[in-house]
Amino acid sequence: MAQLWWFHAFNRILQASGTGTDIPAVVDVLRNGPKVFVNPNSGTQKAEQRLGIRPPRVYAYLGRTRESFGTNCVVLDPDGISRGEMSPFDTGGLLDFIKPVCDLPTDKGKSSFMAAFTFDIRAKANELDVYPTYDAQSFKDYIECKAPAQGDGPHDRWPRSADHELPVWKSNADWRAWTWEARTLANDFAIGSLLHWTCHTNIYRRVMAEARRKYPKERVWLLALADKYVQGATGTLVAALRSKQIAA
Amino acid sequence: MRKVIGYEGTRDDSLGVSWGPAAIDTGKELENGAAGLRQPLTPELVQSLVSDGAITLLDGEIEVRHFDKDAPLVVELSHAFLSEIGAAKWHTSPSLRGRRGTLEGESRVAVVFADEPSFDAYRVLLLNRLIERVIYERPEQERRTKYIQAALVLDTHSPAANALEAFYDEDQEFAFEFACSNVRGEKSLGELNRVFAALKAARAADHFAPSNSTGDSDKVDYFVRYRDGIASSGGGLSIHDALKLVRSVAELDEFSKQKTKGFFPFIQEAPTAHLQAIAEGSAILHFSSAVEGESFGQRVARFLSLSVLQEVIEGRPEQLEKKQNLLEAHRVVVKPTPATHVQHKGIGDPEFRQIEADAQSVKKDLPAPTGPRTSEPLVVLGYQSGLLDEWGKLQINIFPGKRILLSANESDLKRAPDGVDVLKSRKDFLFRPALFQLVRVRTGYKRRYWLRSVTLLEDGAQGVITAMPSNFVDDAFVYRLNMPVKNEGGHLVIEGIDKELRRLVIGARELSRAQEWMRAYHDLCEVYELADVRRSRLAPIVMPRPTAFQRVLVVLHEQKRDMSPEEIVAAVDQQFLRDQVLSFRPMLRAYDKFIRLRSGAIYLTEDGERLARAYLAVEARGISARRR
Repeated sequence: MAQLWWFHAFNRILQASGTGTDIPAVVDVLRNGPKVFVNPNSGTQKAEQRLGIRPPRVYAYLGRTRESFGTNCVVLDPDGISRGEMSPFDTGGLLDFIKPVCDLPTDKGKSSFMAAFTFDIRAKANELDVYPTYDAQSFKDYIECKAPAQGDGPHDRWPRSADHELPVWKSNADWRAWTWEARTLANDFAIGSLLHWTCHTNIYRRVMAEARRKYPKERVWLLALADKYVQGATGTLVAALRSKQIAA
Repeated sequence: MRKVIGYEGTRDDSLGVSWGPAAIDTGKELENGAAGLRQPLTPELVQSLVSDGAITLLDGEIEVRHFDKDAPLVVELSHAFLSEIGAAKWHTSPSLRGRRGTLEGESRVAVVFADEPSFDAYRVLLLNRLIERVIYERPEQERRTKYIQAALVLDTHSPAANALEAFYDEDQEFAFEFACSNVRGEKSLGELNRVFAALKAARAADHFAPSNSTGDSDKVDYFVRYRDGIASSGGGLSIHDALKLVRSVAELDEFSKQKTKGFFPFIQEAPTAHLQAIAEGSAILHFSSAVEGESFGQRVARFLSLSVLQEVIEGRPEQLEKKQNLLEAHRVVVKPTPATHVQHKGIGDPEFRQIEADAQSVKKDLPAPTGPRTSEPLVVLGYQSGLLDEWGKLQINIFPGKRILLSANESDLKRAPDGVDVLKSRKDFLFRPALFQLVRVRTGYKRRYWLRSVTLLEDGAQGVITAMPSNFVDDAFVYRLNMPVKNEGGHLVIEGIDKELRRLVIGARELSRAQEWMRAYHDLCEVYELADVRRSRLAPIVMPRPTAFQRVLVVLHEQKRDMSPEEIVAAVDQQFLRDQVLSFRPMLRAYDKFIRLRSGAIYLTEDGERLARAYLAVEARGISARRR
């Protein structure tokens, strides 16, 4: 039985120079999970304001992510996010590029579309049965970023009012139009269920050295962290875990 | 035409080497070479990816042809770095397959490979050159660190690079465990172990004269011993037999040298085995792992080469079976005549042991090899700390620092272990307490653990611990215990067996920190084992060679008096087969609980007495290293 895992990509840039990776901050995510930094000027939080998402959330994607979301990435098992909401698309994309939703005249319309396809994450198993379904080929297609073979948009799986019958799947070529996204509070992101993680190979040793300096007595955790590292970067991780999810 | 404009990740100029999935400009979109993910290409997107450190732009563009199965990646190296390690033109070699394009800049070169396997050939070349530089040139610390780090950037999982990093770490013990976690697969783990041992042996040889065959060289040399048959009862061999043996070993050594170079490409030359002595006027061939005047790198190579020769004599490499001349040479060495008994003492082995002669290369009148022996089931308390090899292997911890890898798919009973599905499906059970029923199967001198069942100690669950690892003897278990354990409302309660093993209650808070509760449990077990061993049993083991401390412990216990360091040295020399340099000052510091100094003499504390009794009880069941 294949499994889909949660991917959370993140950047931690040194505040002082605005460039380079803040290694202690990466270690903090690995140890304690991601935090939400309240910054109204960040792209994510601007999008949240426009879509009415409050308070700010931590985001993860089911089955994959992309390096533009972050050069570091943690992968949690299917139950790693126990509470929050999920939608079968990238909500930020509704504002910018997922057609035809991004062409709607008001943010209210986009927000309403998002709300129509927002589900409680505790019902994940049921929603995955609807899309992509537990059919082996559909699961594989989802992991390989292929557009859903059947239906024009999510309304073909979850019947909604005419306002929300928008051909999101047929009108886009980007997987963010049909990926599952989780939105959760930082506390509900269970970093203890970490399966794999990555950072760019150039900084891996520095990350581990910092983890060892900061948590010298947590040897079991340190060794488990090394066990779970996938070398390369976020892109390599996503590629490496495709077949593992299918085989899981 | 697609253009590679950069790669995922951040350039680190201090190392001189970086690599990552190619960032490809398809004309309309930006594509990640590894993940195959695309997004519409705009100058703003590229700028934001660069400022976030998500991609590094090359000094120019590399046009590449498109192949469907390509997952291109880029390696970028500084010219200065390549020149420094003598690899300036390697990337232009026509023998490198899968190279899709090159960009020669003023200070850097970038090479695009079709995929990671294509990159591997070039990566391995560079990596081996870096390791070779470290072990043969022994550069100063800064350069050494840079080379090791560059090797680890090329391949984080490289066994040899990880062995080097651990070897030079201040906390070598932890660093080695860390290195074990960094390599992938059992084969790599074996290579890591072997290179690490070679480095340690090469360093140890700095501290003793290689021509002196006693003392520490014993630990790292290789011996083959002949008894009966061609070995005369008064000791020694006929010159004809000796010549025949040496010629056959030389033939096997030539083969071993080729294998060594293949296994460890970073060594410059695999040295010819050095026959230190045909010792004791008897029939022992003594091959030395250190030869006076050899450099550190040469000693590493000699150690590795000797370890491969040892394997060949044991008949492990399968290739041996296909070559008649080698088979014949092997037969001469391991079974020169049916009446001859051949033993060898491998590198690091405490004792001589019988060579399991290859069935195809020896005559039919040999005794059949002993079959596997399975221990009785041992129910131990522990926790799962990992799931490896596509969930095929379970890593469990049963004492601090004692980890065992077990098959998650099969037990010795040829079926999946009971209860293991839960561990596979529920990651929240990592680091949580469980009872593991194990058996140890010993075949010859190899041993393997099998998992038969797992019982998760969740709220309300209970069971009985029947075995615990020995605190004092490697690879031994104290067993046939009867130690009830249960989880009561999130508290783990281990019932005491007697006054020495009082009830232990581990709170819910401690249970979330595996190291803490395991340490508490370990301390409890240590007290029990120290207290009395009469009621418990130790699973039969082959006794490892006693450490210096254990020798001192035995001598003090048997003499039953305070002894000066000189008296102890004399007694140890008399008691044990081999001499060993004893350093009392660090020993007194490390084992203050057991031995102490008063008025210039050393004595055993009460705990020391108990420990000595426990050790001797084990020794009585094992093979002693003492003179009989």
